[in-house]
Amino acid sequence: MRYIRNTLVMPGNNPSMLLKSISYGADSLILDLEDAVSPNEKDAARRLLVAHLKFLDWGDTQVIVRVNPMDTEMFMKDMEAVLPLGITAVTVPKVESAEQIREVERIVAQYEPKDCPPTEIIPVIETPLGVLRAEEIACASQRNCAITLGAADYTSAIGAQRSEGGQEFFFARAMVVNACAIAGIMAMDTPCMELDDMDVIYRDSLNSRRLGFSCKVCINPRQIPMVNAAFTPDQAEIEWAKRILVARDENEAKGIGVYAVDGKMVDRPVVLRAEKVMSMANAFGLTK
Amino acid sequence: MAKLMRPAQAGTMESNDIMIMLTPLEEPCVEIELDSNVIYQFGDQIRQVMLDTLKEQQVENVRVDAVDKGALDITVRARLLTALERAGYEIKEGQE
Repeated sequence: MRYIRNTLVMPGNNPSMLLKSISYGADSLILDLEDAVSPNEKDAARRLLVAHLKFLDWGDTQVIVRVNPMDTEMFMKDMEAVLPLGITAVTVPKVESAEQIREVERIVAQYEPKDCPPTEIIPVIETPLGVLRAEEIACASQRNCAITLGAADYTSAIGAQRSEGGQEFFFARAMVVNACAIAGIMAMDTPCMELDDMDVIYRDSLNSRRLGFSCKVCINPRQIPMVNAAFTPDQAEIEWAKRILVARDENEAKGIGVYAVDGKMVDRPVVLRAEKVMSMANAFGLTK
Repeated sequence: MAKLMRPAQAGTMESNDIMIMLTPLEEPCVEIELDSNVIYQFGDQIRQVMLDTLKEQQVENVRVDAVDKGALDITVRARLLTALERAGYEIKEGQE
């Protein structure tokens, strides 16, 4: 999966939203068969989503489908319906163990088309047990490309009240970011529940990035510009990264491992951060 | 010929959707009653999609009442197939 800053959730049973979903400029879409679909409409949503996946030109948009949890009868029906269509990734809610991911991996390998890039897996961690096992879940499959933190279910399970800063699930955020760093995959942060106040959305997104998340789930297209602003390196960051990498090349040629740029010490971790900034800048077309 | 077991409904009255209600008929007969805000432009096409879908599925004893809100062909077809399933009909997936 390419670098993404945002992933927009669209309900799988709403034809109007499915049609419009491509036009919002999201880096990726999560077409949802789980929480956004009422229990008595799961069959209708699955059939409607499959029709739209086959019919629409999704262009460069990375298409992710959120299936129903593994302990429901809908799970296998969802997997059998969407995997043969060559989607970018399948995201599985309420994952609590590595065994579950290995089972998902087996099913994906069975049903994915053989003439498309491999379908990736995005476990959603949203329970206390899932948070504790974040590392084993993250490392359970080579197909894992990200982990999403679902704070709504998690905070409900631990009996916490949601706050703007999200300090009540800082532990879960840190566990997910840490696990994703170990596995070398993206960490997707839980969506901001605010829909109208752009400052709140921006602050929440900036907080996510500072904690180490790679991207953020959006639940409304209005959130995308704020999330992008927070997750896109600004020009000052890009110029800083360029200076670091130039200095790296010059100093490594001389066999020097530690040096100074802008009056600050540069060593391997700083270089890695600069490389990441430049990778993101390149991915989002910000470098000439 | 396949028989429907019970009345059924699928779809919504939301934009770009279609609400489809099926009623089993005793005699081999397909009746379609369509209400659409684009009936003059696309009424014939919507009816044809429904007729084609019913024919592919070999359904010959049904009354279809549909309220269209600007659904694409794929949505008409998906909603009709869902309604057929809910009516107790086993969909022939290979026909899709």
